[in-house]
Amino acid sequence: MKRLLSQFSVLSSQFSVSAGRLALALALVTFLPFTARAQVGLQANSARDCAVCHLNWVDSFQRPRQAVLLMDPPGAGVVSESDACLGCHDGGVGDDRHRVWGAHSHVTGIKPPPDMNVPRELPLKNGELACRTCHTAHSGQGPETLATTVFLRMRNDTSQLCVACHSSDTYTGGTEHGSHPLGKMSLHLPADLASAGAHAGSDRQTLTCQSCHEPHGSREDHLLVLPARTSQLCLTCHEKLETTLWQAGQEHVHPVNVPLSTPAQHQAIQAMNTRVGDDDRLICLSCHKMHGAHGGSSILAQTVTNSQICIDCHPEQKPTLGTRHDLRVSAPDEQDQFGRTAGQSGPCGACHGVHKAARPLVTSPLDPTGQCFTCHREGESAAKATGLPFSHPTNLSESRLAGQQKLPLYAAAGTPDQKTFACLTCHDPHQTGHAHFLRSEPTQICATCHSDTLAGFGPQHDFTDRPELLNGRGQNARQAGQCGFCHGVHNASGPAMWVATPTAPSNPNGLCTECHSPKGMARDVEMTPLRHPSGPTATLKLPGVDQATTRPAINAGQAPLALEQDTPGGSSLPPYDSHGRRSADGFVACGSCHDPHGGKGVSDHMLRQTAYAGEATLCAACHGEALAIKGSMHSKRLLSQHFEDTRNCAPCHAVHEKPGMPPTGMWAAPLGPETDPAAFRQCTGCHSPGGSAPAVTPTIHPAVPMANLVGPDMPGWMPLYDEKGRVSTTGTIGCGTCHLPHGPLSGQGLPVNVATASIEELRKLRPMVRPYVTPNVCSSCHGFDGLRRYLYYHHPTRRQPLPQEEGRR
Amino acid sequence: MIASAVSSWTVPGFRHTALIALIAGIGFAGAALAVEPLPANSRIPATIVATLAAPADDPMHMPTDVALDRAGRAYVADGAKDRIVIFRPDGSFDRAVRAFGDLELKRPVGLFVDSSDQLWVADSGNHRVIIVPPDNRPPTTIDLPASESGRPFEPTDVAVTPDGRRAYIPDNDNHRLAIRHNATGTLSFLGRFGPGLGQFRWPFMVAIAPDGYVYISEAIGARAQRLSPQDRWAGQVGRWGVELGQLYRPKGIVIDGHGRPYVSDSTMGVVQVFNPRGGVIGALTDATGRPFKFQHPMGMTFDASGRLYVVELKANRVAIVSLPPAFTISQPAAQPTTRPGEEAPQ
Repeated sequence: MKRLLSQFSVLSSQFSVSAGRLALALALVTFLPFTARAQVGLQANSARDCAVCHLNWVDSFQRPRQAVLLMDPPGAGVVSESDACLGCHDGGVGDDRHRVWGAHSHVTGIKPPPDMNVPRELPLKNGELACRTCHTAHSGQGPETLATTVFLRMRNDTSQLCVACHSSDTYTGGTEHGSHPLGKMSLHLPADLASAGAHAGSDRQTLTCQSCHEPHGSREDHLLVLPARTSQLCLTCHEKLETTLWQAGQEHVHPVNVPLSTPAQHQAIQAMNTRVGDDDRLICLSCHKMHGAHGGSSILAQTVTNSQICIDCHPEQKPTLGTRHDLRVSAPDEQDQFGRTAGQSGPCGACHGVHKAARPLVTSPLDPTGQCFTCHREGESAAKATGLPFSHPTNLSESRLAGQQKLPLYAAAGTPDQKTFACLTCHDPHQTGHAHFLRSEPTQICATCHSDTLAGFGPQHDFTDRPELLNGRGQNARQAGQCGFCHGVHNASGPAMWVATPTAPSNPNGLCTECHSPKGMARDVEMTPLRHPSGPTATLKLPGVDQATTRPAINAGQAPLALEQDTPGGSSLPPYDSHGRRSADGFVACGSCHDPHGGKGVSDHMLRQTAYAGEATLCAACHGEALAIKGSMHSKRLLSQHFEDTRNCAPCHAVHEKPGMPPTGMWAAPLGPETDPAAFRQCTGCHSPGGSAPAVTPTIHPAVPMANLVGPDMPGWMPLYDEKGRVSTTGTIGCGTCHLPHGPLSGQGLPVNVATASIEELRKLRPMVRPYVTPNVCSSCHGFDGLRRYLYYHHPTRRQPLPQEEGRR
Repeated sequence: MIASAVSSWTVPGFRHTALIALIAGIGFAGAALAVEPLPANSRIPATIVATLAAPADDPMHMPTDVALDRAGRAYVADGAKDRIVIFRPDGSFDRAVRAFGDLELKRPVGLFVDSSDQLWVADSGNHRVIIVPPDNRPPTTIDLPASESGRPFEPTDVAVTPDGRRAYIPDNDNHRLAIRHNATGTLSFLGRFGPGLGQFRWPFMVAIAPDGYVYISEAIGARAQRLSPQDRWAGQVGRWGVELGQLYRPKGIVIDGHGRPYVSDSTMGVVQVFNPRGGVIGALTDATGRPFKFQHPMGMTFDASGRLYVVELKANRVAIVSLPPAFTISQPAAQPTTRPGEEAPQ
């Protein structure tokens, strides 16, 4: 019966009026009472029921002269017109105004494109698409009832009707042909999609064209059931299909719905002929094409060969191609967690899964993102470049980080508020302009945080112009960088991330002597033997010297002692521990006085600059009590008249051995005759006939047992000396018992400006003589006569005992 | 805004090829005849004196019905856009309303303003009627039950008796007429599917005559049935066909002060006038005496001065039609009121 009805329909549309009358009559009499009831399930009314749609079959039109017509006779094809449908679907029978006559509906009134083969079963009207092309009331093809039918000429539960015209591989070929697949899904059509008007197959799991497109009633372009401009349409299914792949906004997932940010990205989208969302935002369809994509499961709009689709938007990453970070080069057989080689995923895809990291992320304190260690670890493709052990400290100080904004920092493991650095702080896997994928020149990276260290970096330790010098890794400074010649961030040994020599220094002085030794690289700047106490066994340790604690002690009550020449802002001298690390409880080492990162503009053995860079210079940083020498007759101003070298407490003292020095100690000035008592010789070396200073007559106290009852912590202390010239509680009187070779004692201000006072003025002040404060070693024996004997110690007649005193004896 | 009475056949976005063919009658072999002028005694000369249209940047889309309140404000059901468009008494566009309070509209089809100046909305897509009182009182709803077969109630229109005791609501898809007894809130139903008297084939719009008779248009039934105030079927207006006095796709219906039903036919594009017993009086005609062609006429109403408002679905407008004095009745002067969301008139 259905077939008969269909035939009748075709015939009636082809006949002329007369033939149409006949066909109509036949049909009405013969078929309709059955077919209408069978099809519709409602009571039919023969001719009138047909003419409900077939307006032109209304009998009145056949006898116009006998009837008072209210309208002109319609054309034969009126049934296939939109108006015929609208007559009922305007709300009068069904309300499909918003669906069929909305803003977005399947196009009609145009000719199909030349490459589209519209089958005969889908009739055009005058060669153009019309309602009748898809719809007819007589098809009987589907399982629909009147309540559900849309009068389709073909069943469409698996897109049969759609693909009858849209038959090319572009639409039906599946991913191999760049088309979104149709057919069985692993999930039911999501409710959100269904409520928006989408349809799946009768099993609700078969993806059809109408799962995404709604031929009538769509509110979106391309007849989409949900907006693609926000990726909502795609994610409605794919968030459920692959819950782990679509965590938009998460790390390692390509962002979606974010605005395009560069002109290159706009150009790339345009070149791919893909789409952006509102406000030029990146959407799924910016990279993917549902129809006409490149072949492959991802139906991308551009090939992944050479990662072209990535590079088009991110051209700045292109230099990475062909490097060790192009796994096609370095690990062509390596597979990501999706089982793809770099050749298959494209070089970018080897690391970036776009919707999920391509490799398992192996996080560690040094690599909180886990992106580096996934390959750079034992057993993986980059096992040779693990960068371990990591030598650089990671407990970065706030002050060191302050103001550093150039390098990315990461939350420290376990203490998210604490920032630390990671692999990606210094390295950028896409940066190929510098060795080891460093973000910039190695020294520049170091300087980002260590700018203070490098501020005074002089030419002495800059070996970039000496390519013949190779460090412990066989690299010259051009290869390793200024800093990297001596320090290694990775796999360094010994103190200070040492890589300058193959052998790691065993103590802090070794940081210098590894090179400044007869066989070292710096043998031409060999270090002379050290006379200053040094090392953990040295009796004199640095007390964490700084000017805040030293200067007041020196300068207390000595405002006139002009220190105006001091250089403000000098740093303290660092003590070291036995491992070569700076330590407040450490000891003096080479680095305490010498700054290997200094020397810029100063060639004085790279000595550290301190606040006392005046007359007494570096030594005063620790030996502040000697700073008073500036107000003495031994001031640099006066000594320089007799000695060429007056730096750093020379000519009397030497830190490093000088020719002619005694075998031990730091005394560097001439010693007096060996016949002089030891306690005299350091003075008589100059203060003797022929010496550079005025000669004095050595006066030797009678050889009586003497004991110093006044300790050095008492104001009247006057030291005694043993036979070797060392300060002792017992012994005899030496030059230093009464004289102050370094000038006035603390608290003894001078009423003149020592910087400009004449020698005579200074001498009158007797700055080299201890003030006579009792009790002292003189008053201990001589009582009140001690002062006279003190004053006239070098005048035998005047210091003779007084008669009463003699008599007392 | 009241525009000049020149109708345009060009409807943006609408495939009007068929319409042209329909009107011109081309393509029908041997019948290239234009419709003849109606007999003189059947002519009811009509002129479009103004139109109501929404702004061009957001026009109405296939509106279906119109109602006027006492103040002369026109409410137009723009259901394809899920809204009601309101025009001021001077015909200018006022605003579009997508919700009354929390009650969002979904494909409203029919409208009615009762004697209390309440706006009744057949909110078809929500299967309910919304009653919007004047004076900013909150709206109420009548939730309408599905049929026994489970098919949802599809109210396409509503009309309320002048005493406010009854509301008649066609249930289009279930081929029945619901009578709401407003005092009790109960519903009773009349009709079932069929061609006989008291049966329906897609009842669509409803109107109440001054004598209390109720007329229900049937889109496929091609007539308007007449129901007495005692719920007895009292004949029909029109019968199936395309001739004078016949109906092909009747949609809108309105009764004038003399109890004469006016029925619009969307396919023929005409409005015919009948006497209460069903005989045809005539059809609105143009200056040539031929049937006046509206662009898919739907719901209608009269204003206080007897002008006929005809919704032209395909023209996305309401045509305000001037009729001869014999067809013009006077109505009481309007008392301005306000509704929720409106400011009280000064």
